[in-house]
Amino acid sequence: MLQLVGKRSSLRPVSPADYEPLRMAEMDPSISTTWRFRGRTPSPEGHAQVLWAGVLAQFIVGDNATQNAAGLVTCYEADHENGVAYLAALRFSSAVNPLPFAEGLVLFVEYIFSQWNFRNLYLDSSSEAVRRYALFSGTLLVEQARLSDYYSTGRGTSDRVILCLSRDSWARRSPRLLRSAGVSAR
Amino acid sequence: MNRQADGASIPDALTMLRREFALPSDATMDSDLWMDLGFDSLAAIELVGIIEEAAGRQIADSAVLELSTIRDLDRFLDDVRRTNSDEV
Repeated sequence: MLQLVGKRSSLRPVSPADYEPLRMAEMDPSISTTWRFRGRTPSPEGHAQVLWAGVLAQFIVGDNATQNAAGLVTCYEADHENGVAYLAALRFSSAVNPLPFAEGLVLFVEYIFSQWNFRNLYLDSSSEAVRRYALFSGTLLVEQARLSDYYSTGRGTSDRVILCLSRDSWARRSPRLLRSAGVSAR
Repeated sequence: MNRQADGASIPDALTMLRREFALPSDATMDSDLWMDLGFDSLAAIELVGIIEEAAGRQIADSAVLELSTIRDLDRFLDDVRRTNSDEV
């Protein structure tokens, strides 16, 4: 049984009771222009449909200390023939301590690589988000594509950036991350 | 968590960072962990784990998140070392 509980956080499947809190979190001004709706305000029904579009696996990250939801992690657009999929990660602005969410992301990536034989996981993001949420930086995530000035907001433009997390780079760094999360590696 | 270690098993900050992370050669005690060395949430998780393994006891995430420079980390490790020496 794969462990979805870490020292700081736990992963649980998304349920209908999460839909409205998720919709509100996605419309938080601090992230709404960089997250999937890019500033739009979807209806409750429209949001629920989009929430599951192309999704392979999706969990709420719970903070073990506060019992509050710290964020959402999603794997979508899985291409099993080519061994690739996309990752999305949203930390709620209410989650003050960033480490439970980061640990939840570690548990999630380990889960995805354990369950499916993906070679690469991609993060389709913006240069603004990559700068603001310096997650998975350094050697773990490698930039593989950049479209300049792709996103236009009222404040200017930002690049569309595709970052790649390979199974090999995960295998090198995950043992220590999982140990620090109180989880045994595969 | 392992049994609490005595203070002598906890290295200084530069030794710890050189051993565990790819510390740039020009890093100094005043280098900022987050701005200069590119530390992120994952590195913070790793650093908490490394300190806990060395100290043999749990430390609070906030203790690492509040550090700015390598010098701050060094002082924090001094505190951990001192506390362990007093308690062992």
